[in-house]
Amino acid sequence: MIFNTWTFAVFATITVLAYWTVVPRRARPWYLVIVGCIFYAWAVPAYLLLILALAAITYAGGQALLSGDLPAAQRRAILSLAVVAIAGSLVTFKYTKFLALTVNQVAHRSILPIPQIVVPLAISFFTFEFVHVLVDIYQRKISRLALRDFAAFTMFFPTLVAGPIKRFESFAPQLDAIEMPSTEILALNLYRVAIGLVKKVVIADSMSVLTQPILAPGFPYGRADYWIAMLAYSAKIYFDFSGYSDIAIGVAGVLGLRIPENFDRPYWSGNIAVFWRRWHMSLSTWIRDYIFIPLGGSRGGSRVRTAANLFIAMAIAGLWHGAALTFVAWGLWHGLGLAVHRFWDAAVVPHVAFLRKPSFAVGAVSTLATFVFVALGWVLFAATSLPSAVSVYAGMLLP
Amino acid sequence: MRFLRAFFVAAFVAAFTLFFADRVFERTLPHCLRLADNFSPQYLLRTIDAIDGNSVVYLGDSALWGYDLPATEAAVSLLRERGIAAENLSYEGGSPANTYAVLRLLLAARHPKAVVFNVNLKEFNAADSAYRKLYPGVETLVWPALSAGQRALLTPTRGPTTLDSWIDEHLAQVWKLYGMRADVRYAIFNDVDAAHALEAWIERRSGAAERSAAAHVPTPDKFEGTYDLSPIDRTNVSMAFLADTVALLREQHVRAYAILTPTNHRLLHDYVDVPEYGRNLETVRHVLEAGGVRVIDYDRTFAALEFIDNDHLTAPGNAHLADMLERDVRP
Repeated sequence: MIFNTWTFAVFATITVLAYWTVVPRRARPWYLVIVGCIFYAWAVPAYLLLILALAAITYAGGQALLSGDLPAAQRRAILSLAVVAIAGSLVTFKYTKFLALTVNQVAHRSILPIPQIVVPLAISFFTFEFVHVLVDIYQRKISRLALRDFAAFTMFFPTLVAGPIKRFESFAPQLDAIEMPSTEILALNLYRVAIGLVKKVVIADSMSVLTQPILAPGFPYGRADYWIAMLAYSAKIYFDFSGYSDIAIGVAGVLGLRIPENFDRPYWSGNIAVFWRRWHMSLSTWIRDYIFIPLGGSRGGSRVRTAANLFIAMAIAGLWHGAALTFVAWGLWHGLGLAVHRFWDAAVVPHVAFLRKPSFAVGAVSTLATFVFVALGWVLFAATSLPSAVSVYAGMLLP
Repeated sequence: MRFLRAFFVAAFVAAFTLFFADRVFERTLPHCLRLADNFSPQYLLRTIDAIDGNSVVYLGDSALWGYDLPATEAAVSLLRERGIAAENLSYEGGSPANTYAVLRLLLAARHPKAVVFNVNLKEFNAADSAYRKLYPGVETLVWPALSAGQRALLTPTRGPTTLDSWIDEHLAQVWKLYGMRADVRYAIFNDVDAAHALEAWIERRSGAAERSAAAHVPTPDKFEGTYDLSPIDRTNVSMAFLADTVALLREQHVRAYAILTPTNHRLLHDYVDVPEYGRNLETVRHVLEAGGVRVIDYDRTFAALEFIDNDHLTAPGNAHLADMLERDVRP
């Protein structure tokens, strides 16, 4: 079920009305599980089985990790098996076609058959949440995994389609004491839903018309068309995704639950590192916690090693967005930006007096440069192929 | 209970505000010179309701609608500018089936002074996109009124009813602003919406529109297959609806004129300057005249320079058409 449909409006209204008026307080988490199942099964009911199966694996793995003092090797084995099962389904459903296409492309002949798989709705989101739960239990950050809490966490419909990617340790405790928010808070959350709808339907969807030059470059577009299309795409992707997040956060708020914020004026960032602290925050913190830091992060002081970790983490972040080389290239572009920024911060800024002192001019130039860098990256994100992206860059930059 | 009370208060205030705004909107929305690209059934009904008994109503396809031109430059708009009571109910994607459908809706509510409709031979070709299809908004309104035989000739454009489409349809009937949102956008932006208007402006400024137009100069090969020259008979869907149109006009005692659509014979020479085309035109003329419809033959009246492509007229071409209509349509 998609947020900007009448079906969802009816579903959400009935769900919320029943939630606060008919459903007993103690049963509300289970009620969320039931309506979450209906919400998820609306389009392709069969895939409900997939999410339930993966949730069962996560729950079983989590309980095993929590049961007594298992030897470290056994705990590692349980974690590995569960994560491989979950990540394996993500790879199977989302990346098999991409892998087959890439292998055939590299080999210049058809070695692997191209599977026709329908990617289950939101598989990227819930698999990341499951991995988070398992890893945090393994790292003993989560000490209790009640079935009710985990089921409600998994099937919480406002975040099922497009996040934000929740954290179990901040979500589960709220289920013990779901209180009806004040009228003002309810109104603010409904306002947030309305703002989200406007962002998505009025602004983002309208921008689609203007983005054609970067989706299908070539005749008859000129340089101005490409630049405008890039700006329009930058606006579209922000308003689309942040609009969706606003709706999710607003609906969750109406249900008396808080979920993570996802965007914080990202295009006003003074550098690319700040951008990633403000853009799709629930994903960027996930990437930081479960990929970048386990890879070694910036520990050890080696700039090359840190840069390599950034490249790997961002390439995975890119691939998470879509199964295509363009997304990998987009991730690497941001990895490059983050690596250069680290180098700049460590090796250049300390030696240049005017860069060390905050000033309006430096701030404005930095913000503009960051935006242009990010916007140029969106060309890779939007393009249908790498040659197509190159055509767009050529159209933008060459006379 | 606190939640229920707040909910019902909010719902009441919202419903009252929307109802009030809707009444204001309904009274203030201007009548456009022609139907929007994607007009709503509600707007069509509103336009029909506003037609008085002294108006001449024009029905038909993009040739009368004023394809690729601002609404003010379409021939029917020029007639209105000259003080002639004319209403343009033609639209892009018209066909004899569509003309019949709109006529049914029109005559169910109003009795205009006269009806003028264009007949375009390309729409008697089964390959034409509107040959078996009604415009979706028109289909919504007229489908229940069609006979089983007429429905059998058509391919419905509506997909299966989903919860979303059901709500959308019913909400559009009671909430005018929602139902006519496409028409409002057209009235404000003179385009599908602000984004399309902005895109058109950018393309004009950047030169993309000019480059695109230069590359799309119509050539004869682009129209190969547009006209089906096999003999037209009653098995032809467009002919069946043309006959139904004539019968309906006669039954309702409405004065009617049929324009044989201006055609760019220089561009289409290989396809239309053949005896088969002439014979089909005669067949159509015979059906119209036998039913008491006055035929105005503009098939060869316009010079090649007055066309944008095969049958769409330029701004001067539309001015010429307005002159001709002013002379020939005198109900």
